[in-house]
Amino acid sequence: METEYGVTQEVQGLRDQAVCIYLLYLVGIMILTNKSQRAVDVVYLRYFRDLDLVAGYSWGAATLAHLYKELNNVARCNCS
Amino acid sequence: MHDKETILIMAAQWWQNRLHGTGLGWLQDTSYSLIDHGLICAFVERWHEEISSFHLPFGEMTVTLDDVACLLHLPIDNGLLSHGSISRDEAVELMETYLGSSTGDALKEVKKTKGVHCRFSYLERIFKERLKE
Repeated sequence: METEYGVTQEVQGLRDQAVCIYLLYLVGIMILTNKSQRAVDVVYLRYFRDLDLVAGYSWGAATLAHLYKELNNVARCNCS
Repeated sequence: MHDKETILIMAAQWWQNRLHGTGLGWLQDTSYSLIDHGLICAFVERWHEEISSFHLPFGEMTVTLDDVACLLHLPIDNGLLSHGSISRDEAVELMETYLGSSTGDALKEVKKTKGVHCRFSYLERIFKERLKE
């Protein structure tokens, strides 16, 4: 069975996984980073359940809230 | 993460469509090549927790939601992200389902990072594997 891009469902599945991995990487490295800078929380994968619905979440608000929280963290324990 | 072959695949139409359809696609074009560590530290020193603002010589200044929307082009007017913390077992399950990791790999990541995290080096590795397949 072929999907909209003319590839088999198996290939489409692998492509979606690649997109998922890349999104998690982007989110971890750019908007929801933490002090460790080496790893990302896998809980965000929940929002990638359906790639068409990812745009339905307010990532901007999450970014800002996360920025405030992390700034509080680093300002409080005084480490960089 | 970006070697020649990977860049080629990422230029493909299906990739661009998929990525920009998620609303997070802009992030890949928004990055700094140089990050001034001193500047960031100076801002952190001037951060005040109580008012969530930077205290600067000319007054207070903060980052607003509008700034985030304009600079990062992220969606700001939809449902909020809300989740509690998850257990390590759930994390392994998520990685298996959405990243296609093997149970062994997923367990190793969780163990290595001492929490429900996943290292960027591991993500890079499996990303390249998926594209090759």
